[in-house]
Amino acid sequence: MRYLVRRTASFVVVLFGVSTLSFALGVFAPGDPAELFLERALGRPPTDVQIKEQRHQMGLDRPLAERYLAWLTGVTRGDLGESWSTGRGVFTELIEALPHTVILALAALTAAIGVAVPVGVAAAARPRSLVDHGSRIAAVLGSSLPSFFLGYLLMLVFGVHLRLLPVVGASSASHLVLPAVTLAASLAATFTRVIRSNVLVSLSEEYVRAARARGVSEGLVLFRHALQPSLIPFITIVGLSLGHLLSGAVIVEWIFSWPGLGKLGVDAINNRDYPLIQGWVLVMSAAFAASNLMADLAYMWADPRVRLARGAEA
Amino acid sequence: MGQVATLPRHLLVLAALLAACGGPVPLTQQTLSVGVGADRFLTELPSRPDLGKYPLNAGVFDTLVRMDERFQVEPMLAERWTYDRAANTYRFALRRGVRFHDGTELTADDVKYTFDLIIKAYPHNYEELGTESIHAADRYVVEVTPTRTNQRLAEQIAHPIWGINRQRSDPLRPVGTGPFRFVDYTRNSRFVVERFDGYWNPSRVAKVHRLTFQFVADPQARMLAARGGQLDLVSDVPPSVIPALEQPGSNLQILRSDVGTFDALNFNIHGGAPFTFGSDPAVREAVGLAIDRLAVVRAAWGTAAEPSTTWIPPAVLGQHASVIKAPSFNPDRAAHVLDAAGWRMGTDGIRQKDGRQLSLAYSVTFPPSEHRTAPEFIQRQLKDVGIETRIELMGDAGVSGARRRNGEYDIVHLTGNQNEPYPCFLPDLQYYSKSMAAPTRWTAPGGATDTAIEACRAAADIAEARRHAADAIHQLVDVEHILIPIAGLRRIWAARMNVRGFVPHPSDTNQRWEGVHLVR
Repeated sequence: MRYLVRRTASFVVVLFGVSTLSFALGVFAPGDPAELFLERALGRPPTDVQIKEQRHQMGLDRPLAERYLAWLTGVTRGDLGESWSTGRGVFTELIEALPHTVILALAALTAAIGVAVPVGVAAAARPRSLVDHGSRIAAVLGSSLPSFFLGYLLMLVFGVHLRLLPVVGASSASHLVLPAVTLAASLAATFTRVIRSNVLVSLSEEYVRAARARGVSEGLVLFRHALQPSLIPFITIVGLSLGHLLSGAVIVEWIFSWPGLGKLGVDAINNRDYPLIQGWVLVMSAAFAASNLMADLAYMWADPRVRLARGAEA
Repeated sequence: MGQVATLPRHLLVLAALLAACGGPVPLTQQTLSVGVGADRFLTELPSRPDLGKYPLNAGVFDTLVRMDERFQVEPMLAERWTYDRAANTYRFALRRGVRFHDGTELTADDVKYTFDLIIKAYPHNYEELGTESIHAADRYVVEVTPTRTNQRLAEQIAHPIWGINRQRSDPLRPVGTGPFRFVDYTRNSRFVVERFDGYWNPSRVAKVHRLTFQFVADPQARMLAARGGQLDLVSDVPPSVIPALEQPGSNLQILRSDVGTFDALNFNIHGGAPFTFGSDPAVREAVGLAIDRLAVVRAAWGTAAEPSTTWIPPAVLGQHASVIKAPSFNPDRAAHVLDAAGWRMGTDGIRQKDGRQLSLAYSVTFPPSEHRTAPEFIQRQLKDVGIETRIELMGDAGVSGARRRNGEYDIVHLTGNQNEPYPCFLPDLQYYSKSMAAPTRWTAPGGATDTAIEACRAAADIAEARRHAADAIHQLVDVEHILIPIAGLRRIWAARMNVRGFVPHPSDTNQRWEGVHLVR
């Protein structure tokens, strides 16, 4: 319990640090947000008087400490301010985009696990076989190809030449396939290698030999005796991969016109929309920190040895 | 045996189905998908009546007058108009029997409502108009009295932003009189319209049933979606892919507009140290002479642009465009001008004067991709005459705007659009010395340029306005050498081979859609 409290406290500290940094980002980045806002709003360069008025309206002429305190107070109440580019609440913008990213991330995660588990087990069952070599080459390719390149490649093959799948948009389930596969590729590569090596280690354990000696079928040996214990460290890897999914989604969502958090972030940066950028950074960091915390807790829950050791530390 | 007997029957059904699928879709049922850039409605404030009008003009609205593909004003909802010089009042006579998409008739009250809404939404853009300026004289006549003399109002309100809304309609569910009626807008995804069968102009009733504008920010993805058949028509084709798409066997056709966008260099003539090179007329003249704009345009844009001498599209200036000569490529003359001004070639190939190297801060406005590779080519050509340039690619619009506002550059590379037929729109915006816009203080020479701009505003007819606009640009390009036109850019669209009736407009905000359709 004490461990849980300590980890939660560190989570709050991380969020505070991130919120401070994201506020500083908006303050110290070059360029004048008021001028940019006006130029976009008016469709022409603003006058000095207009810029001064706008700075006042945006509160940019208030002391830094006052602005920071106001922003921080707002954050604690869930008020992330108003987007300068859309005039809507930042929280609303984030909440509207979030489901799209969650769907994409879940689809990518499912695809990655769905590929990695059978391929990893098959490669471990027959080391140095064709399957093992093939999965290694695929893993190297999957983890080394940049997502934008893979995305275009998939568009070209499945969208242009085979015409099997739509290339852009988010209006049906088929639109999900290419972005999810693009996002899943490097994850699947990592997962496959982790599963393979863990299963390989398990297969050399005494209990596996004992099971085989008892005449347990090879399938049961592989999937119950070797794979099950290998899944415990895998939980951590999956938890940590959420960060990869969120960061990877920025590029993938952009090229596939997927209206999720990643695309929202790029749009916010292009528009110099500081309140939205600050809110976006905060939410992404919170998601990343929360996923780490959850992975840690899940690991504790799954492995009694860890629970006992952490309990003793506390 | 029974299975064998049913097989021909199945084949017959299949053949019938295939025949049905393969037949031409009647125009009345056709749907067309158009890929456009990022959703820029997002960045418009919610209080503005811009949805469906600007920046994407989806054909939902009509304006009182419109700008055709040759930048000429033509009547639209206003059948005719007059200007009373003494009273400084315009009288627009509305077309009768025009219906909004909700079935109600267009009246002068709708025009007043819309104009008041726009003036309120853009208080600083239309300072010569106040809410008291607009008056519904009777059911079909609108009077507009600017707060100061403005003889160019008819050209200014051709901009699609002045599209007429049904009074008191929800701007987020736009109701206009255009050839298409609004169906759906999904933020960041699509804008959908359908043919309006009750359109007032029978010769311009839309041909297709439905148009879906899909927002696809990434140009490569847009192209791939068109090649894959997901989109029928896509905007802003990257110049680099045009040659491949024009090869035999391509499943897309390239459609080009006339020139509608400019690409030009602009000197900072009033800069403080160290940005003082632009105050030397010899440096300005030499830069213009050292640039081979034909080579720059061919290398950077290929067939998507043409060398420009007039800065704004020549069609806007009419016959007066020939007044502007623009410096021709002549590196020897450039060297001579610099020598005569005391800029001597240094041992490192860079000229110097009084111990100061001729090294210009060359600011490339955001997004730098618009200028393609032109800055690098220009840098190379200037180096040949001993002028060093330090290219500064602006990382985002914020930095770019701040540099221009603060005058922290010697030369700035700009692009811009001619979205209205008012010939002095751009000279007035960028080079009028009494303008309050911050960037103008570094570029406006005053004197004869101001005189020409003021004469353009006060011109009694459009021909006279064009003459004064050409005079103003002549001053900037040929006399002061502050402005160096580089390229006139075309709008490049790609369409599937079966798309017909699409005429690209040089100003994309004035694009028309009613003629577009598919053939088998």
